[in-house]
Amino acid sequence: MSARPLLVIEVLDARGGVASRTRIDALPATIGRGYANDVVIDDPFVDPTHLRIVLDESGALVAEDHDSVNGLRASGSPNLVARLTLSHGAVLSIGRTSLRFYDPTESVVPALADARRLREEPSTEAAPAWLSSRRARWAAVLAAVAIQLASTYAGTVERATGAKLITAALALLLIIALWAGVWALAGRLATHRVSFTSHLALAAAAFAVGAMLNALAEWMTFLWPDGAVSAMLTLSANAALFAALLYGHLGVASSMGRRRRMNVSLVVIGALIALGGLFALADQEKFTTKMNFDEQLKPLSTRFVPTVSVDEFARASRTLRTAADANVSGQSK
Amino acid sequence: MAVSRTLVFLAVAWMMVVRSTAGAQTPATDLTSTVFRRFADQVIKIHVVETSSAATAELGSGFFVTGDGHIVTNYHVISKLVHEPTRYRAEWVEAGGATHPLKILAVDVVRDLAVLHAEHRPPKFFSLAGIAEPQGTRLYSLGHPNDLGLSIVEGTYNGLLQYTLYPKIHFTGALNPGMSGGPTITEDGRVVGINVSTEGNEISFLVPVERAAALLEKTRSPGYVSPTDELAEVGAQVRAYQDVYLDKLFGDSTPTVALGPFKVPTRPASFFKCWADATRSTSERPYEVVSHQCSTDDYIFLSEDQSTGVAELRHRLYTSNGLNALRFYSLYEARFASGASEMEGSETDVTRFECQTRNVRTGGRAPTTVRAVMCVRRYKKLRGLYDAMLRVAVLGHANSGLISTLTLSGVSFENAERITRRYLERIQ
Repeated sequence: MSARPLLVIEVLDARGGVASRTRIDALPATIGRGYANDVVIDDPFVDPTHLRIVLDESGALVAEDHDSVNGLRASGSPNLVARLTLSHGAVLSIGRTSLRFYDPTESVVPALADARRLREEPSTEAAPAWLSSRRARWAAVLAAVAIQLASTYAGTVERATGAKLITAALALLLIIALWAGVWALAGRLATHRVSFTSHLALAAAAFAVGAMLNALAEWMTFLWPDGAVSAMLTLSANAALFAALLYGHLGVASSMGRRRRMNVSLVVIGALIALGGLFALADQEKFTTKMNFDEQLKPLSTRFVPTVSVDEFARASRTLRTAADANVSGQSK
Repeated sequence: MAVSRTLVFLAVAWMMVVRSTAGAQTPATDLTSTVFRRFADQVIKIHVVETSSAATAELGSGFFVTGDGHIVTNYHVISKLVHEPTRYRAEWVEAGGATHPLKILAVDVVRDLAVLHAEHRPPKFFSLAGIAEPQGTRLYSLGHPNDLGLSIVEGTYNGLLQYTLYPKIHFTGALNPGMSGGPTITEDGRVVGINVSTEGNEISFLVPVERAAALLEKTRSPGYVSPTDELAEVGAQVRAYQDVYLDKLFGDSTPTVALGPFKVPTRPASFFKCWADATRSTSERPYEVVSHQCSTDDYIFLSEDQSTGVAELRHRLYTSNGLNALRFYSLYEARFASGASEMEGSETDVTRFECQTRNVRTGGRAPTTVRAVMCVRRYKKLRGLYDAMLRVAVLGHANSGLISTLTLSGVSFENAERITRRYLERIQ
């Protein structure tokens, strides 16, 4: 068991948060950039040995400037001083670093009851597990780029040049980097952690899965162009994918519990679907002279393509008459 | 400066003298002037007026054809009145500005004709007896171009159009807006046709006088009562018209044309005009396109926003040696989705399109698997009429594909179904 500490020194970050906390058990103690100090500070404006903490004749704790280049100041004061008496909670500045001193005998306030913790399991494993692997993160980005390159190549009906492919890949990277950047910034504000590559990997994985889902949906629509089933599946799969993406981002960028993240993701997706539904409804009522239909054509042997006869096609077309007649409002049918 | 002005004046005066002397030596000019003097008072100016604002919404010409006040003009001159009889009225406007109300007695929307009636006993009128003119006969067209006053235009008779279901005269002369409904006559005042449309560059068209005579005859037959709902009559005429011209389309006698490995129908009737073109592949554009299309020249003017009665078929063959199957199908899919997926129309006249897609195995001698799309929209004002489009893409070829589109406007649903079914069967 260690001796009872004499004081605790906190090194503060630029936003006033605690970057490190060191117990001092014996005096004199030294603070500086050198590794031999009791408190090591990573600040190029701090001397190798910048401060000494000693007891003065009256037994008070005192910080003494060790003839440093940039001197010692009480926090908020522009004046340099040679020494400062340290009271509980005193803050002083050396170089561009602030230090706060605590008397370890002072009591601290009782812990707050964490309502979330009572309801849910802790959120320490909030981020998806695979994001902890650097290799997996970059694999996701590479997969997204590969899919983008393949789909650009397959979709280019003019001459496919290297420049076109590289531009498409860079455009994708730029978009997912911007998306990841926004999330990383949000995470930095919420949790003081920057996890850009995790967000980038999440966005890349979502793009890759989404592209494959949409390719699958296109093939399904090609093979079974009845419309409703494949459209619903596509919508559900894309909604689930976006919800999962949101859930993952929130896991990395916030300290929300799983249930809360899930609720937030579902609410956002629900709102987006409702909004999309409203737009679709408005669009459906809007007059247009264009014909919208399932245009998918795929290179597949006709042996594997489910077909109907001309009679069945003609019979099914009769529903169009009913639908077109229903579109005439206030007219005799 | 004064000297040069005098010289210019003298030069102009000399030119006028020369021209008037030359004119005096040209009998044709005298003749035109005589024709104008003799027949001008039988041609009238027709205004269609928006009732609430009393503003002229449409301007056209017409001419007296009986001593009882019967007038022949084009349907399109008075179409606004047919569509909205409570909002518009038609008037005969005399040169002095006096106006007389006109009443619609009958319309023939297919030939773009109308017979109107004015409470007026004209001292002179044109006879509508049919005549046969040799090509090159000098004709005189009368009317009110752009409301600039009654004008006469010289031109020549150039026979009947080749690719129309119903005969139309090719008149080489400059018809202009406002002359519609006016007569085109011989020097002795016999009506050859009714001014109806122009393609510019003196290529103009006339409705043969026989059609106007038949319509007039109908209105004068005993017991004839003009329809209370002219728009319903227009709808009935379009339905009857499409029944006639669609009847035999794409039957067994329809010729086919080979496009790459595919066989497709072509020129389904004599009134279709066909043409073809091809673009070769380049290093930038590694595919070839062969296009072949046929269309009717006839169309029916319904209103300013809507024409109908057109049938068109369009084949596109795509082939490529430079694209693999995946890339070729990207091209194929994009072309299937884009080309001619739109038909003009306004919200007041037609509904949105309703479409359906299926993969279809056609029957017949050489069954083929195709992706087929049928789109239909209904006319809102004309009962029982639809626009329909059938688009087909032949499946199963790695580097070639055929997209074929049949478009029918102003047809009954039964005819749309019958014709598209026949069309599908003929794609191999």
